[in-house]
Amino acid sequence: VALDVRRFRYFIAVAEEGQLTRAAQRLNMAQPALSQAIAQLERQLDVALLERHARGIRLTPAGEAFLVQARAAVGAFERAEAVARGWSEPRRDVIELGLPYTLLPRTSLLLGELSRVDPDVTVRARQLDYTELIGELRSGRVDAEMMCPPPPDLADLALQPINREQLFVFLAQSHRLAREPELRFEQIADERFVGPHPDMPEWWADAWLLTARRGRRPELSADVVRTADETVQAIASARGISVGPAFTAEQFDAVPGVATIPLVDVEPVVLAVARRWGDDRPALRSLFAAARRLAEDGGLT
Amino acid sequence: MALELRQMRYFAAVAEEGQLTRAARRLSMAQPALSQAIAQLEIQVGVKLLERHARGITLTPAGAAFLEKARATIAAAAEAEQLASSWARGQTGHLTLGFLSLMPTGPGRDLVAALEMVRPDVLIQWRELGFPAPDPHAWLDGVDAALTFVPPEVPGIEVQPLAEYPLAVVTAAHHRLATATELRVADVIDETFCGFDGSASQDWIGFWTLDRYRGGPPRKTTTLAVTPEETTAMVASGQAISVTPTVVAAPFESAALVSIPLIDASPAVLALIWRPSRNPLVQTLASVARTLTSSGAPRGA
Repeated sequence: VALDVRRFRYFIAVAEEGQLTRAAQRLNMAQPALSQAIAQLERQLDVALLERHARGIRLTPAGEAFLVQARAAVGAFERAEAVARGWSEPRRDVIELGLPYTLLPRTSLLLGELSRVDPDVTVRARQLDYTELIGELRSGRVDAEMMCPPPPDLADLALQPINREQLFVFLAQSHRLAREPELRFEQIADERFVGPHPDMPEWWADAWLLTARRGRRPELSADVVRTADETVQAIASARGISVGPAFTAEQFDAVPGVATIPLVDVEPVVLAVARRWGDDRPALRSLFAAARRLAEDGGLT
Repeated sequence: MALELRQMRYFAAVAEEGQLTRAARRLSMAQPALSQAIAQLEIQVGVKLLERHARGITLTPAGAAFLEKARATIAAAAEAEQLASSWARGQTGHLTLGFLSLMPTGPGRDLVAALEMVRPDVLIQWRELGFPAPDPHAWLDGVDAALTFVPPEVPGIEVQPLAEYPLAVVTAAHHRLATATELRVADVIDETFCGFDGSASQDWIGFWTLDRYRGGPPRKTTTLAVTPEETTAMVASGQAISVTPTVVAAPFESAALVSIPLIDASPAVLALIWRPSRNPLVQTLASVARTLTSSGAPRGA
């Protein structure tokens, strides 16, 4: 039959208004024309969609079922229009990308891939301290953020995992465990950890304090660290130990007085890039496409 | 912007054919008219969708994004029309039942006979379908319900099991397995099976090639069959064996073909499947099917 979208819209308006007069007003057309169009639709489909009464119209069961699918068709049509519109509008090609400390080496791979996917996008990196995680993204001060691990409540964020990061223990060279080739959770469960800043998101602090695994938080040093530099200072001064992902270990490796040892019996954590849900700007789509490619290539390890 | 569905259909045809000439032929329209319609579409959406080359066309990134949404729109509109024609059949007392390579015998016949007792006014039309598509919704396009072995488990499809049938191996009379009185899965698992056209559902193909016992597809298959008749021809020529429910195998037994019980394979379930909120006669048929099944009707041959 090859219906056109106008016919669907007419029918939806009549069904929703329950009256031809009001539907015609809403559609900004003459009532006889609308009445005729609906009758034509019913003829075309060979099925009665409406029952006409003195006071208005009522949907037949077939009309009820058709309404659901007609709405789906119009919805799909509007999404297609929106996609075309999104491409035709002038592009905002600059992305502000939030980076927690020590993520830069991983990010440079992502940005390299992005330049292949979409050379027109420029990324401005913004270093975030540990108290600014996610908050800056949710408030719109950055457009996307690298996250490791991603937050548990994601309703307002879209996420593209990039890689799984092996965990490492960071401790002072003088620490009794500093010569171990690898460590297990039991060996460090009761160690004192470097104290996190109270404004750090709680789930994030707990992820790195291994709170869930232990069933409680560990003993904490008196520090309130909010940057990687503060963390590594506290470790080197033997005030506490810390656990972090492989990319952080790669940087702490270079710090004199600090040992980095694989934590072999704790699951790797996901590194992902996040954006606000519904923020579908082409530049952000390109960034996600680049992240997806890295994930498909087996990640950044 | 006032796009029309028709324009999306044109665009999808050109994108799929990769050539204006072939797309125009498929749409039964003149090529200059199609070319103009596409140019008009690009002006309306304000973005270039196609790159024209001497040898044909390719999609721009915007065109690829638009194509995806345009296809979803076309599918949703077609779905609305399918749904309406299902209701239209119901209004005139018609019920279209799909089947595949199963003669409308056994439970199929019982089911229809039982329906005719309740609703003597209903006219059943049998329609032979192709191999089940990966999307069972697409397979059911154009019919109100279908009889199938290996009922799909997907949202939006209702399933009423009717009977279970043991499986049989069908071979050419000159095949070396043909003299066996019974076979076990282990006897046939490494045989050459009929290849199925790749557009068929993998779950469905895998059921008939005993993949669940092997943990994967057969090592050897023939060229790909597109219809049940082609699989029968391949079996009759001795190229391959085929596995079918006994009820399907029986009519094919002849001087050229033998069927041998496959005694340790789990049986095939014949089921009525349909999509709700369509032809209301399907609900009557389904309740008849439930009554038949629960009243201890013959559980297969």
